[in-house]
Amino acid sequence: MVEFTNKGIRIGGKETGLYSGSIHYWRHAKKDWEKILDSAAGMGFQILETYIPWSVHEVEEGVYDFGSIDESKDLEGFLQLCERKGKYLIVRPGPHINAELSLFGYPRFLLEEEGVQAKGPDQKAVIYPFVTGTFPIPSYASERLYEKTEVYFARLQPVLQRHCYPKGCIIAIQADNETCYFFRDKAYVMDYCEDSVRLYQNMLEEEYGDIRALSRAYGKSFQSFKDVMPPRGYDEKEIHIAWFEDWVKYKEYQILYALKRMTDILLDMKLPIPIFHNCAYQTETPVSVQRIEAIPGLSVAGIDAYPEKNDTKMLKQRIRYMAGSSRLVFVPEFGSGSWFDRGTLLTEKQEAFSYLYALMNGMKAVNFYMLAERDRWTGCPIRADGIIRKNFHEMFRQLLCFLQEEEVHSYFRKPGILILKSYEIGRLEALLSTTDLNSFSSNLFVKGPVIPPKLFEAGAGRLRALVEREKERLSKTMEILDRLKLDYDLSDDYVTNQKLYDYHTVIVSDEDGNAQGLCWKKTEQLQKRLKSWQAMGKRRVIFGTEHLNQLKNLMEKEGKAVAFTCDSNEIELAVHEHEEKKQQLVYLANVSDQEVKTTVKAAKQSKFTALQYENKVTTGKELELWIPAHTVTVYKVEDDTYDS
Amino acid sequence: MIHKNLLAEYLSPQLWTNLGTVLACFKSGQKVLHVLENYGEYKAVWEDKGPFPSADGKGRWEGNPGDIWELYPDLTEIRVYTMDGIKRYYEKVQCKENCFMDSDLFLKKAEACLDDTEGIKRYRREEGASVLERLTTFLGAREGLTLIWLTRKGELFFNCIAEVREGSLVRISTSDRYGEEEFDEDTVYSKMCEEFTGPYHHVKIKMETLQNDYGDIQ
Repeated sequence: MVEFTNKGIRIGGKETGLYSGSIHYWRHAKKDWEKILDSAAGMGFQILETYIPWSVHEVEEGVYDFGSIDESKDLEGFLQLCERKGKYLIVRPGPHINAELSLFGYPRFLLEEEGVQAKGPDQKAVIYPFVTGTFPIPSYASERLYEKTEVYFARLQPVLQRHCYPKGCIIAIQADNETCYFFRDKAYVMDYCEDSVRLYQNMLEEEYGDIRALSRAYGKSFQSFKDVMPPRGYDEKEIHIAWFEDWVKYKEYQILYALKRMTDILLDMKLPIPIFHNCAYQTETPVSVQRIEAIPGLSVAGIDAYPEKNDTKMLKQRIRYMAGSSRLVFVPEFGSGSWFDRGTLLTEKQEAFSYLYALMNGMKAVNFYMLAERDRWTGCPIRADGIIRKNFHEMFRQLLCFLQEEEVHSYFRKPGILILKSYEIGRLEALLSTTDLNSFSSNLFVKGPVIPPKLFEAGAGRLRALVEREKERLSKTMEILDRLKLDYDLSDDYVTNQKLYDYHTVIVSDEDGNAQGLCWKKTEQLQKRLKSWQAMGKRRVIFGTEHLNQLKNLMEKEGKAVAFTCDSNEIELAVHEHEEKKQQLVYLANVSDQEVKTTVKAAKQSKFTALQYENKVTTGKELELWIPAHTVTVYKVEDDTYDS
Repeated sequence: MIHKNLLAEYLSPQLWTNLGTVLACFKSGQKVLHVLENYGEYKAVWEDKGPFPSADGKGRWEGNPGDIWELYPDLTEIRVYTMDGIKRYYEKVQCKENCFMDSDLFLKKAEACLDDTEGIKRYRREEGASVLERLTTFLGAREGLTLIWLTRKGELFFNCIAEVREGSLVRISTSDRYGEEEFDEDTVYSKMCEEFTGPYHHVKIKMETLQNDYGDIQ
């Protein structure tokens, strides 16, 4: 049996860290597969990952190639090789792939079908402008899309079935990929096709039950849910905001619907392995990690990360959001190298910094995308022909060695403080747009015409002010906690009860949606849940930012003082505790451009073992050290009271 | 011009990391002020710098360029849209014929649509070549194989092997295909000639020249 856990993955009763890397078998000569797998093994990778793209295997409608025409498409052969080499494999059959493939891995015959295409408010197809050609974006509501997907997946089923653990190497499967309207995720870009409008009306019926209730909320008179048509952009003259709010909720509903349909198709394949999903980058509407994880049969939703050089802000917020929201802090695609038209690449040192920084902030599982270079991707530890790139290869070898030897997955950050973002205010921001259709220049060498989204920001009055206040509250809250050097996680209104129990302090928005004429049913539910959570004792809810400055003193009085401190503003410190042993990993990140001297102070006499520098050991209550710019230093710390 | 099956392989990380810097040479230095006219009210924003400050500080403009050209000497274009104009523009750009199209052709059409859509007015200081036009001028339509060898301060900064067949770019690669450590220009050129069918071209250029010759084409 295979299952995801909160520290990685359990395979046949053995729980282990989930550290994998992507290899696209069909993009390499078959003769090079073995060399590539051996090079991956040389870095310490036990788990690999691959897409199985539809357009690669169904070369014409009804004509399949699994190696009979082009031997590099021999999926069965690749799976057998992984098994011979003792590797585990995560598979991602799409149907959405991206992978810089033309048409994102969908076959052209599918996207050409009118009934498959998403539609804009003008009933025209919605175009994705990719570098090797434009294509119409498929609709998540299209019945044809699911029918056709089932046909392709039925061809995959016997192969996958034969190679699932314990018989074979496949240990997990991904449902779809970065399901977020192909990054064109603004509220009114799509989807107005017939199937989608029907789905929207179904959602309204589920939500309101009675058309009279909806009519009251919208200030209009409808005879039936079928009479309700979606808004095509926010109109300030429209006083009943529920119409727009419901459309934004529908955009979330459509994603959840798509993922449920895709998960059901996978469940019907009866593969004895867990299903997961990777969100692209969103931590707000139209995506919700917690709601995706509530889909029956879908175990985990991670979020991908492609940081720019030294981008600690994005990583900190994204990883901590997952820590406060997901069952497993999993980055299913963490950039290793880059797509060919990005313009710049990270060096191996910059990549190492981002990986360690993500681990420091709570990342528990990761798939490095990509391990082997291929068409339209470069900067990896293995070239397309299997030859290693020494600098990247050595960096990964050291990283994997650290992760595995120290059993890093057995240590946990326990910040105690949870900041809840207002998901509802995120919705409000999303709906306040007149006609923002996103850029027509995504992923292209050369930027095309851009019409700035700011031009379409509507709602200059109280609603816009509410959005701005919430943004300010969030950034001020994080700023104060960072200044006080108090560790925290992030989540939102959809935080699960199970997650809440991990924290002693929850910081929430003090905005009142009802007072602004908005319908925030979920927030009311959250308030109730927080009350029962508080009733368990020794837990506090803080509204707004007013009392945050006293939080550190309060925590110290309650005996929740931090065990380690450091005296430099440029150094971020995180403590991860071993789940069983009395030892910690102390991460120190220098986020500045200069080498910094710092002193780490421990509450108790401690034994510090430097994990990256020949295991040098220091004992005492203080540790003085120099940390180079943009690096993370890790110490294993054990209680040394007995020895002294 | 960019083929749908474009192969981008063996891109040396060490050199390819400079792609953005190289492409920046072709940037036209355009600075556009975008204005939305909505029910007789105007809202103006810079492409990347937030609202356009007016006398009342509310990011609005007065309905015509007036003395804006003098106030902002680096401003190259003012684009005024009505809501209907924007809608018409999106309809045109996302029409059925554009659904499966080469990206460069799509970008050209998207640019051209700005000129011939009712409800969009463009005020330009002077006609300038777009980034795409500048890049196309540089690359030319050299059929066959071209080795582009770019140096900066005498050192190799970037190289690219570009294969064009029937006017379409079908492959891009770098010296990396002949080994990670292979940075000898003549060796790379002769290996390229051995591996591929011609005709062959060899473009040697300095970054400074690239900036001067192509960055300022008007």
